[in-house]
Amino acid sequence: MGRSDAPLLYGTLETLILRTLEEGPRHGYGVARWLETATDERIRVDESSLYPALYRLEEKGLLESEWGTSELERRAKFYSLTRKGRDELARATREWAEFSEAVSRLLLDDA
Amino acid sequence: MKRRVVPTLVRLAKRVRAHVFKETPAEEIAEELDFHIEMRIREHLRRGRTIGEARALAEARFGDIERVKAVCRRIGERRERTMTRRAWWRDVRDDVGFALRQMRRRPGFAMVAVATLGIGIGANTGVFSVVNGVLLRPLPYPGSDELVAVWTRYLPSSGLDIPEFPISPPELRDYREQSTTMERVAPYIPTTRTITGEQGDPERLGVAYVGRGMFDLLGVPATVGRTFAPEEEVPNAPAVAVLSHRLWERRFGADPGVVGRTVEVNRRPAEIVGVMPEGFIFPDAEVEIWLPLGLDPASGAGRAAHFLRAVGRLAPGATLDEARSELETITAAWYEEWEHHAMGHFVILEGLRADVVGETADVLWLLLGAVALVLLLACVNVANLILARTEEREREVSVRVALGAGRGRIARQLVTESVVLAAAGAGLGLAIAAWGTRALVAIDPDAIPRLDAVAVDETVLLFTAAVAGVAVVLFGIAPAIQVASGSLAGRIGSRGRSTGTVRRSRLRRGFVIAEAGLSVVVLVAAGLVGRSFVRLEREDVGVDTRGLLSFELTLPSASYPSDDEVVAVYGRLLEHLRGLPGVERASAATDIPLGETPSQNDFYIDGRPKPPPGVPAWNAGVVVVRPEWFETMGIPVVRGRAFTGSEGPEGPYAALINEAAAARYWRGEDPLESRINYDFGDRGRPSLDIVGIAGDTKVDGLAADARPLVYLPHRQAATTWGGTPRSLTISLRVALPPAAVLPSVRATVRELDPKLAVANVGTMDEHIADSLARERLAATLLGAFGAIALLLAVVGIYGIVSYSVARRTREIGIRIALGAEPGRVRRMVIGEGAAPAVMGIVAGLGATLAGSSILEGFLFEVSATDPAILGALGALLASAAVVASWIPARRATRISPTEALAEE
Repeated sequence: MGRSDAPLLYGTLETLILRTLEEGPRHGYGVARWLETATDERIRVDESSLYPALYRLEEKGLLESEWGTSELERRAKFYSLTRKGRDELARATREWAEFSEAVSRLLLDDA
Repeated sequence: MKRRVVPTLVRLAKRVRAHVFKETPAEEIAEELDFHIEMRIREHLRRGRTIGEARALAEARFGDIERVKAVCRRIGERRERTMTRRAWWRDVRDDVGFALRQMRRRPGFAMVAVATLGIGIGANTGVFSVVNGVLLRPLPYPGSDELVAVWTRYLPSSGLDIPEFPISPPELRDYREQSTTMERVAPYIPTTRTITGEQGDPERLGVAYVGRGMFDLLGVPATVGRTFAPEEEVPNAPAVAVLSHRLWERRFGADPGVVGRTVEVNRRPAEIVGVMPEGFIFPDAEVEIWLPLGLDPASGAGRAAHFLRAVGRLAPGATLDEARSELETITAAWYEEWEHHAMGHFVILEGLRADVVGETADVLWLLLGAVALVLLLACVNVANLILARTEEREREVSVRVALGAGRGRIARQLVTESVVLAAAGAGLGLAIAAWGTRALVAIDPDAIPRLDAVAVDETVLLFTAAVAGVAVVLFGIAPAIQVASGSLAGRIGSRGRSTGTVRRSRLRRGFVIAEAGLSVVVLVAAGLVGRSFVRLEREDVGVDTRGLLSFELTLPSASYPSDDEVVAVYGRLLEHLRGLPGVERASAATDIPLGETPSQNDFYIDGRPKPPPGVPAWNAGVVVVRPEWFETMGIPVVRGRAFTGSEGPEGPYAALINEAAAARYWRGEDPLESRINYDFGDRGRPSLDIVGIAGDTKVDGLAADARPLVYLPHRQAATTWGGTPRSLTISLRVALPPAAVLPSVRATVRELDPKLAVANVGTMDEHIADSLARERLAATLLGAFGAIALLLAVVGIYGIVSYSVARRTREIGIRIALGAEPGRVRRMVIGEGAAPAVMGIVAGLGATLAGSSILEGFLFEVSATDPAILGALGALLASAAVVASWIPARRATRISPTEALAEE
């Protein structure tokens, strides 16, 4: 519905968010921390883009959210993948693999 | 299924919880960011920063926090709107699904409700589609609202009483020149002519001779070829013709090369120059070919020669009222100059559409009024059905309210049910209307002008939707309001009488009153109009209508140039016709009763001084007849005698007049001793002895008074009156059915001259029926609506009383247990139906009395306050109400007290 017909992902941030949530529901902070630790701090999420990205993904129906209790004993909003999100993650991963293979071939075979 | 139940319930619970703890998107993002920053602060604190540093660092990573909040808030709000919209649609779908399921569970209720609504809406749509096609649809000319018809009107002070009569060439010319409010005016003469030619058999059809610039005035170009060029529209120009689309298809096979071919009009060849588009008609659907009028402006036709019709187009910006007042000024100047025309005779303008439609408008509005009442009746019936059902569902509604369904939501669902019913009713109604109007056009297309183009178009569909909407409001809103205002709440397990119950039984009484009142109004209208029609039908035409067959014939001057030939040929023809088997008598005349209006002519009475110009002279219609006319037609000669048959060009010069002429012009004198003449301008025309007075005949229609008429013998007409008519209506009195006689009649005519066309064949009875077409239609339709109204009222009252008994089962059971006799119980129940019904009938009759002036115009010799009819119909409806209540009453007496008390 609506914007879901356009190319689904603005960029890698959204794909990374989807990948993160494949591991299970998290809140926004949890997503940022997981990405940092999983990549050994090589990826630092731009926190000003994080929440807009989460909201957009939810609007497109790739995520769903609900309020729950967090580690601090206060409420936090937890995001999780929908089935549509899972499908989209698979597709984006395939696309990324093809893209990076092409670029690698281009850059590295040139000698 | 079980696998899916738990997650579904969980999701439902979450939705409910989310619904309960709802926050705005702004609040949500604020809290999210708040949490995120707090977590970051902890991180920094764990690494040894101070609170102030930690907070600064955490916030710095966000950059412009307000911007982030704003973006997210916008996305959140957008999402909310979408979800609300989707939820709304989902609710609508659910409601409709629920409504349909409810209808399936109670098919009886649904069918009755939909059928009732279908009848009510269908009748309205049907009548409206006729109103739309006939009255509202513009004429098939561009800017048709600017077109006017130009007529002469004679007031009784002029000696005649004719609302619309042709104008004369000098009047037309003067008006054209002197008017500034009219852009153009053009004359025309419609008539019938015989078309011959190699394309097929001779045909009689409508022909219009149109004056200069007529097609430009109407604004419709030809679809093949062209319309007339200026040089073709002057006197003595070579003959040309424009065909109608229908004629082109029928007679010329839609030949694209038809331009240049020839068509013979009354034996005179005319070159075809064009074909008009499909659907173009002027002045009516009978005319299928147009020729130039070729009026000579310098001709000597005087101001009294009224034979032109005319159409004008208003100048841009001018209104009909302005044109009318200008016309008054112009004609006032004429009176100064031409005294003869001063008395009660003047030129008028009429909007062309109103002119074409004529008096049909009133009938149609009356019918529309009647069906509106029928719709109200239908709505009352359905409202009662819904009310009954709503009460039955009280418990269901209360449970849902207790479970947390919003009252507004339930009310909306009830309204949806009503809308679904109304939509189904509208669909059924459209089908009924479409079928009805098509049947109407098939059965009696001449009853109403412009009926050919009545169809279910967008306007009609919009009207149907509007009517359905009104119906929903009338029957669907009340129960919804009841739910929304909580009057049905808290009824689980309660059985007592509360204010709600009392209110509802008062409402039911109101329904019965309304049913009876509305129904009686429609019945009275139907009864009065029906009686009027019966009276009209029984009117004496003035002739013996048994076995009277007639047809029209014209002897064109191209083949029969002299008057003597015309007279001789008709004589021969009639003699042959008299000899045919099955034909008892045969004669002919220029006009038969209920046919075309005879031409009006002034005449002089011998021995009386000729009136000065300006004073009305003696004037009567002229009917030129062949010998034995009165015997053939069965027109009684009340005094004197009919023609002998020996009246010839040399004498004896005789005339008959009718009773109306005798009464008007020979008051106190004996016409049989009088002589009249048509010697205008002293040409030496001989005077005529009045030898007999004939009975009056209906000329202008069954409802109109007789016109004064003068009868002249055909063989003398040239000498005494000024011309020998070539078009006569031949009348035969036949002993066999017309179908048996017609073939030999046609053969006889063909033998005489194969190029003659027999036109307008019909029996007198058929002519009478045709002249009553509109009245018959009105009476039939109103009768049908009256029957429907009666049926709806009876069914409605039965339903209301039935339901009331069902609701009061316990109470009635107690009464019976306490010893009430069946008779009393029965009387009580019948009274519940009959008493309000009688009140409603009285109110309805009062309304018809109050509105009697509306109906007066449609009635013939019947008073709109006729007590016999009003009383009879009121009694009929009252007895119907009693009968309708009797069945539930009997059921009430059978209620077993033990069962009633044990109930629920």
